[in-house]
Parts: sequence; C-alpha cells; structure tokens
Amino acid sequence: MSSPPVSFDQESYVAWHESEFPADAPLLDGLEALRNRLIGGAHPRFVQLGQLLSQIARYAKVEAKVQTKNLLSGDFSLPLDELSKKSGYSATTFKSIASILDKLWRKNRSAANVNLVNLQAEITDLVRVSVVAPTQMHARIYADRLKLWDELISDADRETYLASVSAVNVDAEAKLAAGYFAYHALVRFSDGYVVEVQIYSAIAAAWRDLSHHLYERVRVGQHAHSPPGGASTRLVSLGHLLHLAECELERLTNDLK
Amino acid sequence: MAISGIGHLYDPNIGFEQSGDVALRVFDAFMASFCSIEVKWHARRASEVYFLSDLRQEESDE
Repeated sequence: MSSPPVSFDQESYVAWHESEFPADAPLLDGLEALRNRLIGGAHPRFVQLGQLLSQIARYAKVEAKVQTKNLLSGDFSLPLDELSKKSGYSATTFKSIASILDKLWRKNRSAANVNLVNLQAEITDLVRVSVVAPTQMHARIYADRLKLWDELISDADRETYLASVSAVNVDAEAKLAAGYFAYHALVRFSDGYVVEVQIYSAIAAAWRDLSHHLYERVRVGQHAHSPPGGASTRLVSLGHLLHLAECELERLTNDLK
Repeated sequence: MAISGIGHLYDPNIGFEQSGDVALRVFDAFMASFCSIEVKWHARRASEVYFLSDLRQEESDE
C-alpha cells in the first residue's frame, strides 16, 4: 500500500484513495450518500438523544449544587433546538465532506487503512452536538453522570424513551498540542448510528469558535506557520491558560465551600 | 404550554415577585420530565425571555 500525499489536497487525496480502495470510487459520491443517510436517519435518534441529555442535566445540576455547596450556579445549555429539528440542521452537526476527506487523509497517513466500509467505526464524530456547561467543573460532573446513564434512568423510562440507545462511552479529551480540553461522549444506537456529544465550559465555547475559524484557515493553507506571537501560537496558549483558570476556579471552589 | 406555564406567573409591572421560585420549579419540571424535546426547547426559550437564570443566581446567593 502506498502512502497518501504528503500534504493535503482534496483532488490528489481522492485520486490516491480511489487507487488504493477501488470499491470506494467515486469517493465523493460515496461520502455524499453516507452523509445523506446520516441526515435522513437523524430525527428519531435525536429525539432520544435530547431526552437523554436533558435527563442527565437534571441530575448534574443537583450534583453540582451539592458539590459546590451552591457556590457555582448556572444552567447547562443543551442542543434541544437542533435535536428537535426534522431537517435544516446546523452546518456543524454533520461533518462536511471536505472535513471527512481531511480526516481520512490524516488517518490514512498514520496507516489506519480507513475506507467507506470501516469509516463509521473509525471516524466517530460524523454526527456531533455540544453541551455547554457553566464551568469545567460542571462539565466534568455532567460527563460523570452521563457515564452512569443506565443506572440513573429507570428501566421503564429507558425502554419507553431511550429504546435505541445501546451504550454511552465517555472520555476526557485533551489535545495538548492544540490547547483543547473537553469531555467527549459517544452515544451509540443499536443500529450502529453514533453521535458524539462534546461537553465543555462556556468559556471554552468562545475559545472553540476562534479555534474552528483558525483551523479552517490553516486547512486551506493560508496560515501554515505558527511563529511566536502569531495567532495560532497565542490561541494554543490561550487554550492552556483558560484550562488553568478553570482548574483554579475548581480548586478555589473546593477551598471555599 | 411551556411559555404560558412560566409566563402567567410574570407581571409586567412587578416581575415574578413572590412567584419566582414557582417559575423556577415549573421550568425545572419541564426539563426533568419526558415531555417532547420541542416543549423542552420552548421552556428553555421562555426561561431566557423571562431571565430565569437571574432568579437562579438570586436563589443561589441567599
């Protein structure tokens, strides 16, 4: 197997992919069909996901109140608007074809051998939504409670409202090189459909907006370098700084409560 | 339902006054229930329109 192109360029990557995985050709059509299937099948899963996320918020809110002795307050911002739609989803909910190609290139650069057959198992953020917590401490509490979803929600309610949810895997995601800190949950449905739920604090939400904007610029090659004092360098440093601030807020809360 | 459930507790001249804690409980009840997520979304919108988070902060400060 040959290696993918050294630098990313959609046209040359597609040509490489189709020569390595002839069954995937034409790749762009295959990706579009996959994306349309994900969009078409979203609504019934999203309804269940919305119920799951709002039930977890209910427990996390009380838990945060107890753990902080009422020192830190605030509500979780859930993607209920997006999850209640039947069409016209936000551009960020379903990974764009350009972004999937970029990720395929990066995965196959590290010899992952990803093609249309195993793409959904290898790239788990094809469908993603976010839960924004008041602070990182709230985000952690929410992630911890989401791990225990099948113990918190009664059997009867799970069977009635969450019948297709088969598993939830939660991980702390720290991309140190990018300055990114969040909790990621993979909500798996019984038919293999997966939604990634990203859980992060309100201050991290603002940082992410800037980071996505910068990433788009880097991806199209307008911002290849990261010199000291440059936007990329400062953004990564800011991510670390905000993370430290959130950690300190949690420590102070624990000291003062 | 969610909007009128919270909105009828609000007086344009005096705000929620004594009904603030009831409004918060109505909102929490919608969010804790298994009513449709469209209804929950409207409850969330109503909580923003009526600044229920400010009431939550006051409750927390007490």
